Amino acid sequence: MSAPLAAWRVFGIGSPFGEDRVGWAAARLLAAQFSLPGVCVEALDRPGVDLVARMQGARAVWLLDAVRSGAVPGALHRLDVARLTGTGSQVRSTHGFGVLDALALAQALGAMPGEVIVWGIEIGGAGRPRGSGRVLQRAIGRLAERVAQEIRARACA
Amino acid sequence: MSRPRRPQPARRGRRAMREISVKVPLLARVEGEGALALKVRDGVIETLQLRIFEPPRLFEKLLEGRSFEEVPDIVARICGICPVAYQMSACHAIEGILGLAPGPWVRRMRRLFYCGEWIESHSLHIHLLAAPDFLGYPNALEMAKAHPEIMRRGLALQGLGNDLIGLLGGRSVHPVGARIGGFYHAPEEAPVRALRERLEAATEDAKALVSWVASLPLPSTEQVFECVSLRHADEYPMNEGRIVSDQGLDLAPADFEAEFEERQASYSTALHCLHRGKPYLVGPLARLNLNFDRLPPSVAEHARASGIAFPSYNPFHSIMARAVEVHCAIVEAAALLDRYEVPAQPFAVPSPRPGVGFGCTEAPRGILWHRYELDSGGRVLRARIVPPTSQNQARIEEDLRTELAALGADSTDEALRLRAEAVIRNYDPCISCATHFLNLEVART
Repeated sequence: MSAPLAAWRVFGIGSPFGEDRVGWAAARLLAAQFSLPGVCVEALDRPGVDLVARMQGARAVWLLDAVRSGAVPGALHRLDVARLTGTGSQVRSTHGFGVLDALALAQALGAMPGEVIVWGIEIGGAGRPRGSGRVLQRAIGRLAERVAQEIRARACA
Repeated sequence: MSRPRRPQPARRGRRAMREISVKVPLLARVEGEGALALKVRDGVIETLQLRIFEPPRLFEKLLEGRSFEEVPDIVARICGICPVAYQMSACHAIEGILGLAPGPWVRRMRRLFYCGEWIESHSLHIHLLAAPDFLGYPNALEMAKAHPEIMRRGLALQGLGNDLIGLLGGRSVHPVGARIGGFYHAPEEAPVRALRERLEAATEDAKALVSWVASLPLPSTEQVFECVSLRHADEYPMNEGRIVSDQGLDLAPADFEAEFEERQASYSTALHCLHRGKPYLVGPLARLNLNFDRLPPSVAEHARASGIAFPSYNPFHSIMARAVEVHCAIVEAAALLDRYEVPAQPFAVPSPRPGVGFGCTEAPRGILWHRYELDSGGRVLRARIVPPTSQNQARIEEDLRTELAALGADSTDEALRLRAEAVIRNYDPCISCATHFLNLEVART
């Protein structure tokens, strides 16, 4: 996949299925509701190793993804990339090549952007309480707003 | 960059130890979950079983009752790495029933679609899964640190393959562009031109990849096995051809069941497919051994100059065959896009009719055979899918037996595990497709 040229890039990670779409939804909401000139915002369908090329040359990259950690659905997680990439990815499979593997490979190749911010929206497990769809929708809005704030803060710096 | 030391076989175990049991929790870098059980008595391998315990996925039953038009989208879900193969075998089988001939544009674009999948799948396997074994790295990340330029080239090739799939499939993972009769959408000329330029530039990368793989310290071994692949009258086989072998087999895909039989192994959820009761090899090495003369001349010439001769009966030359096929697919894809024109309609219109049809195409890992039976409304009555990994499973066991015996069955468990993993990875088994990591259990008495 040819890499975008923008210095700041936001990638919604996910697939068309169920709540795996929350990263896409947040990226699309960000692009639709906030004026962010010069910022590349895209929804990526399970990019696997392509994420390395998509991040290449960027000053800062935001990755928005669905997360299951046991927290309440709709909780937002701002994840520490240094800790994420130190948790033991060994690229075990090309079928299950996830964001963690892509970040570890980019780091091994010396291809990490200056800054990578990973945001996760907690989607919860199979036994989610009723009404969690609305909760997730609100979380998507909150995440888009937070990312827009972070981008604007860098633009003003 | 200094090369790390290759893993050395550890000292032989002490014969006085009558029984040892070892469990290795995970075999990395194969697709799926499985285990290898090894029984060694007095230094001789007594039992060797590649156990696949991934639950059956029941795709064939899931297809029953579905319209023929739904089949390409359903089978694309079987595998994220080789969805094109599943779609193409299904399309050919069903079009055979419907008496549908989609014409030359669709035929060319299906070959292009397949080129994309070979480039993507082979590049991933060479760089992320297999090469670290031969260079003595524990994983692809460590290899990437030592050989970043090699890994970047591999990822660029893989990305090019993905983009070719996306051109026709709408997306590279589980593409949705293929339909019975052709494609839902014909690409515009601008993205085709851009990809044509990238293919031209990638030809040199593919040649460099072939030369680099030929320089790897591949184990030296020669084994006896039957190679089975498609063979086409005048092209390197992808979508069409007769099923042939180096032992005289030559049959139409419709006759597959007369020669090949799937058997249940009590220790595996994947069926073992045998040819007249014996293991056989499918995949890039079998294809190249049987079809070297069908390579584009520039690809054959570069492969010859690399110093590895085909046919080869060294299973470890599979990685070389993959590299040659990446080169082949890039040259073919560029040629296919040279003549590109946007068609009036990118598909032939199907109408349902009952019957039985067969499709056999060359997935990256080997021949993928499909059989469908449709009713008069075009609904699937029965489906049967024989993936390459189930065809290679008995051959992998045979190879393991040979290689571990050559290494010395009384080698340490760690040495046995390392060699066993390298042997298995060499086949790029997709256990997900066949029904996924290896637990190694060694019992010594």
